[in-house]
Amino acid sequence: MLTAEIERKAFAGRVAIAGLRFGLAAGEILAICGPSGCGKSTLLRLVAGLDADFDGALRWTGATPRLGMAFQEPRLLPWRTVRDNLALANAVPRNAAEMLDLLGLADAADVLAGRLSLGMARRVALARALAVEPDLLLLDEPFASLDAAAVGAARGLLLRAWTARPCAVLLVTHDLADAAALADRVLLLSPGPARVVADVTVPPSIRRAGGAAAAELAAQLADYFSVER
Amino acid sequence: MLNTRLLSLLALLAAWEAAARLAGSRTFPAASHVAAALWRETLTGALPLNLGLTLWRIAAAFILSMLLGSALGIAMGRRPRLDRALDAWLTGLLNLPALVMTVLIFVWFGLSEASAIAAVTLNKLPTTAVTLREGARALDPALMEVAQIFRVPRGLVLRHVVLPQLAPYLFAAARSGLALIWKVVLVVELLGRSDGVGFQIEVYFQVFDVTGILAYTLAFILVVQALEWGVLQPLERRALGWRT
Repeated sequence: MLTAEIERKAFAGRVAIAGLRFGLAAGEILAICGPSGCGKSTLLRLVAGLDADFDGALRWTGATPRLGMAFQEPRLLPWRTVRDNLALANAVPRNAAEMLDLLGLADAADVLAGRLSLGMARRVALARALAVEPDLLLLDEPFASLDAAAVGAARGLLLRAWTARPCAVLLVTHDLADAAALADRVLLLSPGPARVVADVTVPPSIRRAGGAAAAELAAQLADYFSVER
Repeated sequence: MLNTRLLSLLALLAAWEAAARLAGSRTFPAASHVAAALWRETLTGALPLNLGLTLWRIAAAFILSMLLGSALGIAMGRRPRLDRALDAWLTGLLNLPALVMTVLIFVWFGLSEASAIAAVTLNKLPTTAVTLREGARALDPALMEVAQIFRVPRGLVLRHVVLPQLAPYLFAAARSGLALIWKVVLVVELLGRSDGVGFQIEVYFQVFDVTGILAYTLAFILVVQALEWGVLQPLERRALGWRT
C-alpha cells in the first residue's frame, strides 16, 4: 500500500530522520518503536501529509487512502459533544454510533468533550479515527499516560475494532509491549536521526496472542534492540 | 444577586435625590425631576424619535465595523505579510482622535447620514481588527491539523473549529465596541446631524437645561443596560457555556 523512502528530514538544521525506508501492506499492523525523541512522531506527520518538507518520497499504490489518525493528545473539539466530535470528522454517522458502542462510550455520547477525563478523551479520539473507516490508521502513542490497567483495556478495544474492520495501521510507540501485543511487524528505530535498525516480523503463531507470549516477545524485542544499538 | 443590584441602584437614586434637594441648584436637578422630564419627552414623541435615530446609527455602524474589522483582523492574524504591510496604518487609525476623524469625514464627504455612520464605523473598526487579530493568532494549529486529516469541508471548519475559538474575542470586541460607539455617536451627531440624542443634548446644553440632558442620558443608559442583559449576556452564555 505504501513504500516510504525518507532520505532526510531536518528541523532548523537538526536532522530528525536520515535514510528511513519501509513498506506497509494493506491490512497490516506495523509498530514503529524507538526511544523518545528519535523522530517517530515526525515520521507519522510526514506519512499523514501534515508536513511535506522533506527529501524523499511516499509512494502509494492504488487510490489515495482514507486516513484516520489519533494524535498524541486527544485533540477533540471541547465545545462539541462526543457524538458531534465524531460526526464532524465522519461522513457516515452510522459508524460513529457503532464505534462509540464498540469503545464503551455509548453513555458518554452527549457529554461535552471538554469535560472528559484524559483516558476517555483518548478513547474518543480513537473512536473518531476508526469511525471514518480508514484505509490507513495512524496512531501516535495512543496509550501514553494511561495507567497499566487502562492500557490493557485500550489495546483490547483497538484490537476489537480492527478485527471488526481490518485496515493498515502505523502504530508509533516507545513501548515494546504495545508492539508485542498488537503488531504484525515491528520496526525498531535508532535514536535520532531515525533510521531502521531492525525489521522484525512477528511469527503468526504468537501474533496478538497476549499474556505470556506477548511478554516474551516484548523481552526478545528489547534484547534485539539493545544488541543492535 | 439581583437583589444586591437592585439595592445598590435604589441607594444611588436615594442619594441623588437627597443631595439634589439639599443643594437646590438648577444645574443639579433631583432624580424625580429628571424622571418627570423623561416621561414628558417620551409623551411628546421627541425622545423616542431622537433615541430611535441614534440607535439606528449605532446599529449600522456596529454591524459594519464588526464585519469589516473582524475580516481585516482575521486576515492580518493569519497572514504575517499582510500584517506587516497594514500594521502601521492600523496603529495610526487606532490612535487618531475621534473628533479629528469625524470632522475630516464631514468636511470631505458632507454632512450626510452616510458620513455620520462612516465616521462612527471608522472609529470602531481598528479596535475590532486588533482584538480579532489576537484571536486569529491564538487559533490552535493542532485542531486545524485534525480538520485537515479528516478532510472536514471548509465551511464546517470555519463554523465548528474556527468560530468557537474566536467567540471570546468577538464578544470582547462587541462589548468594548458598543461602549465606544455609544460615546462616539453622540459627538458625531453633535457635529454634523440635526437630530438624534447627541443633537438634542447640544440643544439643551445651549440653554443650560441639565434636566433635559440627564433625561436623555438616562434613557440612553436604560437602553444600553437592556442590550447588555437582554442580548449580549444571554448570547455569550450560549456561545461560551462549554467553558464552565
